[in-house]
Amino acid sequence: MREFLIESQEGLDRMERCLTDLEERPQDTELLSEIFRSVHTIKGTTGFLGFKRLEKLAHAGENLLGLLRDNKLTASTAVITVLLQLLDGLRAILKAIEARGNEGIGDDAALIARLDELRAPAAEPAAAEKGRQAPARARRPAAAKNAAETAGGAPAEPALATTAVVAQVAAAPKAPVVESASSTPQPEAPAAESPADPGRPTGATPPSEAAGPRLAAGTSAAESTLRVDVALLNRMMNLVGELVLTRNQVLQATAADPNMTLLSRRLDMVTADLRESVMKARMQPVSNVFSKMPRIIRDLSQQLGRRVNLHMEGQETELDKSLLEAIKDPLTHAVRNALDHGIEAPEVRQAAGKDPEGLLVLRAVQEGSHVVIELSDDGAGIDVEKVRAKAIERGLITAERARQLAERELLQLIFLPGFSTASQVTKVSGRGVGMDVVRTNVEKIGGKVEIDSRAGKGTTLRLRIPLTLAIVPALIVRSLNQSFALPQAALSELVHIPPEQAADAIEWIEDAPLYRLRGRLLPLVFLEGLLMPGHDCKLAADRDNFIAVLDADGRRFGLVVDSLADPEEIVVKPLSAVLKDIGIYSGATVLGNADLALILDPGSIALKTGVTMISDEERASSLEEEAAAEKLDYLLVDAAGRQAAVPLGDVLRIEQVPASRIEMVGCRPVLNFDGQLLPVEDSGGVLSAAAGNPDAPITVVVCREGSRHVGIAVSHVLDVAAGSSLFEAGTGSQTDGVTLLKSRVTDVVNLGGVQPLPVTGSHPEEWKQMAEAVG
Amino acid sequence: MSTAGVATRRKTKANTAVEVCSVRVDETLFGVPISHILEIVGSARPQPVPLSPACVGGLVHYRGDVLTTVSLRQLLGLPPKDGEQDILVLESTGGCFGLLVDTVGEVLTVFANDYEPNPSILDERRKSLLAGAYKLKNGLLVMLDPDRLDPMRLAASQAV
Repeated sequence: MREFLIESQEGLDRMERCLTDLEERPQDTELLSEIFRSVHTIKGTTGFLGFKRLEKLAHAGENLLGLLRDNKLTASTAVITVLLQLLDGLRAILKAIEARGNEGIGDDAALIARLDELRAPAAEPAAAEKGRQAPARARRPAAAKNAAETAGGAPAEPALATTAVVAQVAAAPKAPVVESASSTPQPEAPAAESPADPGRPTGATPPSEAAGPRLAAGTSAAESTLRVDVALLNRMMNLVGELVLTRNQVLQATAADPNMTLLSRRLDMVTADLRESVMKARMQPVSNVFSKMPRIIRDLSQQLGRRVNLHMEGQETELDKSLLEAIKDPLTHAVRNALDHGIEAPEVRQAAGKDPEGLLVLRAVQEGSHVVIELSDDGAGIDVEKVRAKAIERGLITAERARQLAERELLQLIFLPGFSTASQVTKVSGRGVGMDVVRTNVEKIGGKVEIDSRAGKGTTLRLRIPLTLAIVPALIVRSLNQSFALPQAALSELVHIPPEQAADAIEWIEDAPLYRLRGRLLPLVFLEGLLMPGHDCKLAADRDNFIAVLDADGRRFGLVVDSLADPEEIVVKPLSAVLKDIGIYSGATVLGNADLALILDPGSIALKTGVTMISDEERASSLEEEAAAEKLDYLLVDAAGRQAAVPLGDVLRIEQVPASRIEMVGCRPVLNFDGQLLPVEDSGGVLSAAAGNPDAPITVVVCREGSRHVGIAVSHVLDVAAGSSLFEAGTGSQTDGVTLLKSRVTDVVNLGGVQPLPVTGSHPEEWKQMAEAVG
Repeated sequence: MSTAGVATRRKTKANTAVEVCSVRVDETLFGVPISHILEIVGSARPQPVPLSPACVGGLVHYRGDVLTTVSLRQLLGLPPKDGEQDILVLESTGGCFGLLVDTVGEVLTVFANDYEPNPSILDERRKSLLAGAYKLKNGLLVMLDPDRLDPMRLAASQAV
């Protein structure tokens, strides 16, 4: 019974694909037979199982398909529409059977009537026409029709539907396919027009040997694949995870024993292989989701009066089954959007000098540990001005802010909840739930959405999906002497607060802790306080404190934790319902050291602690900030009272050392850093200012200059800022060595000007080390 | 096995033998029908779950899964015990869970004839948890009903 349902579903999926293909190639007999077979198989099986309603409907469909297959009817749009309705009807009944075990009550009479209606008038003119063309063969269509009738009619009587009869009938429809495919290289050529075509079977005498090879091909495919329950795969995945842990412990325990090394190394390899294979078993090609699109596009384009050509690439790209399920809805939504908002009506396209038929490209490609699914159309693109106006109108952003936003940032606004540019609410889209849903769904599985659009040229939507959900990268944090895992996807940055700053790093409004992150207030949540209500929330002055800046569904907050451990790839294990109900854990995991860690759910924590969505204006400005971050150019430093800029791209790290650690080689200041010697530039005179005070803290900005590293001594680091070029008055040539930072002309430190260390010196030992560092 | 089940068995057949795994919490000897026990995990240190209902004793790693445990001590209002505890992995309608006890003892065979339902003087909380007792030669074996110990059910009924 279950087998029947699965098989039928698959048959219908195949039929759906074929039907949309058929629209393009209405004469393709191969396709027609495929469809015929799907319906026929369902009908045949239902005969045994006694599903009368299903059988009746399938029978009506089969009659119509029989005509199509015998070229007595062309697959016009109307016919295909009805066939698609038949498909939906069959699906609905199958669903009912799956859910309740019976066919449910429903009336298919209207659909059956429509199927019959299409059959009746078409058959006669076709026969008449053929009669005129070839009078001698006038009776043939009738004979063929009779044959089809008998072939289709036999299983309709359950009393007669023995295995033998069905098998024979099943063989019959296959025969013409093989024949026509082999004898006529171009199936589109209507074979019936050639009177001497030997390949056309005319009666109910199917050449049964022709059905042979096809059946054989079918069995070999069935032998090499196997249906496996997803639950079993999940269980295997769990057990493999367990094996990995045991392996880790074995490796640790046997590390000292040389006899065991070989064995444990082998165990290590086999485990890794096994894990990979099980992961692979869960993968499915994206074509499982892509194949639904042609139908959706067909229905929509008819509804909306668009002409669309769908092009799909990379269908064989594989993705974890659960993720594939998760992207189905967002992708469908995006396709709907592309048709409704993207691709214009044919006449509009023509007026714009484009092909009246729009092009929609759906592409999947694997990039590292992600699969990128790209949906691009060559439609109108997103009108940023319209977006701007709409955003202001909907109150999502102030007019003033909107004016300042660049095109790229404006595009991001369409992901805000409640945004829709459709001037008219259509049946398809434009109700204001749209792209935000796409984004939320994709982010839920750790993915990302990007959009790119050019007015008049089209829009590209990119979904970046992680390959698998079962294993996620996470940062392990500690609090209350316990480990917790924070998914990396939500983590945007980490802030370290040393003990001496603990006292005044946090500002309070009443009892709400806030941290000033680059001038912006960030609400803080103390993990300790969250997990132990009533716990005193303040930074410890006797040890380091860390703030994990999290960004979950547009809610941004800092989570204060005691300490950080290494990031780890964790295997997510589900929690029992009673613990899931607590609301802040999304699962648990076993760490490399065999400890258990609860996985924190940043989104729920934000909700629970009342962190709201950052207001849209703020979001826009944070977008602005992000955009600015892309062109961030300079690190603004203060060197003994003078401001200077260091190109940010060259900055490797910033060190703070007591003045005494900076030693002199001859008259050159150097910093001995982990045995590597770093020449320090002191044009600002920071070192001389600190002379005589060996404990004075000196900040050294370590930069890359060519292949060597150099340090620049500064009093402190002020900010990072975007610089703009300055031009010399008169000549207009770009100046070097100065830049405009925060509307002040600022010197740029010339890294190349830092003198290399002397080759001969009084410290040959140190020189050698320096040579290593420089080389 | 529910009280009702034990009771009917007593009526229908005079002296049916039941195999019970004995566990000790504090001074009391408790019994769990072995038919409900999947496995016994010795010397475990469950990982506490902050904010969880009081009856939850923490999480343990069990056969590739993370198992929620119910602490019998906490259920009975006893002070928590430091150090390692034993876990009975039980099967209930809602799935598997662990029962955290001080120590697991031997499997005893008890007879339906020795069964007595919960005494009326027990407080309501214990009445809802315990499923009567078997009289042994040297004391009582207090029966536990795994279905009533399901963490989901406990959390719902006790709202702790």
